[in-house]
Amino acid sequence: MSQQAETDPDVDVAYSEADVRSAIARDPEAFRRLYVATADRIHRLARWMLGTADVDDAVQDVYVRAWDRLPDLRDPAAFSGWLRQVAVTVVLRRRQGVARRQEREAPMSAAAVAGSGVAPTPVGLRLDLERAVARLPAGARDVFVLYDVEGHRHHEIAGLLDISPHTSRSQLHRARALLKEILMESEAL
Amino acid sequence: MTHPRDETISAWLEGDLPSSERRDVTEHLEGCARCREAVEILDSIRSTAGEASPPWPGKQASWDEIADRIGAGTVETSVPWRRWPLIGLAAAAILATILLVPDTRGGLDPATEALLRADRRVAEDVIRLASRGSDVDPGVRSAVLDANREIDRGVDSLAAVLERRPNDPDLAELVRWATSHRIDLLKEVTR
Repeated sequence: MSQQAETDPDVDVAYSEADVRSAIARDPEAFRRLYVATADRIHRLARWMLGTADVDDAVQDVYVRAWDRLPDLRDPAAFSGWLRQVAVTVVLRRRQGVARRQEREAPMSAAAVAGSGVAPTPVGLRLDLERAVARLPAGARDVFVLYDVEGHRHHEIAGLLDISPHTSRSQLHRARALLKEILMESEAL
Repeated sequence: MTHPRDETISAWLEGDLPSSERRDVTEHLEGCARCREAVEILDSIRSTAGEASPPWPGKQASWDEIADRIGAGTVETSVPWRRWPLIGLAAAAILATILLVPDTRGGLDPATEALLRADRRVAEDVIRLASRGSDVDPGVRSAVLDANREIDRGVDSLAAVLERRPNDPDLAELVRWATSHRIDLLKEVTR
């Protein structure tokens, strides 16, 4: 059994396969260590994909679901990818729920729905980019976040979103072109 | 060549174009300042998106919420888990290991293997049923999973001894007792 520490590229806190095994065996302290090591990245993913003020709640849902589903994880070495799949599933379902609720309460265009609820943040290209991403159509946004923000390859995105790698590529290029258009309109560049 | 669309320039940046089209775009870019500016903008979008984010300030507060929802805090339970038999189980296994017994090292016999497999299946059922989302009280879940883990330790010790004494009826009976205790745990989470 490998005891080598795993490190999420964006955080300094490492976790080990032993932590994953302990968490699978329902050790909450081990699960907390996994959470500390991975939560920043999962929060970033949720923030970019949701673009709403409910991100913290969404991340909590991700980890509660992960805790419930951990006994299904057969290979502890696959924890990072498995957790990302859980996060994408939770976030997509949450977004569908938000869209359905907003449609019932006040029918809007897709662009308006995507752009609503973005919390104010400091100025800069990153902020403008986050706001612009929130206005993308769902498919393009998801691929852009998973590829350019999270660094996944197209075949991984295809698995996460149940699309083809070719579609993933098309959506990425479409997303970037739309973002350029949005940013140029807002004169952010 | 007319100006390539932004999607095409993005694909050029990623190396996703067929070679002939790539050559055409490269040639165009060499002579077109407007499209070179588009390259810079698309590239800055790509690189800005990939920058590391600041840490999430709400991380600790959110953990407290999560811990509450999964029952990860210290939970007092009034369920009277009869822990002394578990201690007895572990003690019996330890005692057996220090007895002067023939070192047969022949491995487990089929009957003992079947006994241990059955116990393993029940152990997995306990984890699966105790871990169901909101169906199980968090306090009960925590206590059941703790007890299941203690039984795991005892059975692991017994299995090690059974490898040396594969046909020992007393040790086999202890495994059956452990399994019956796990079944009691199942009843607690399936009420």
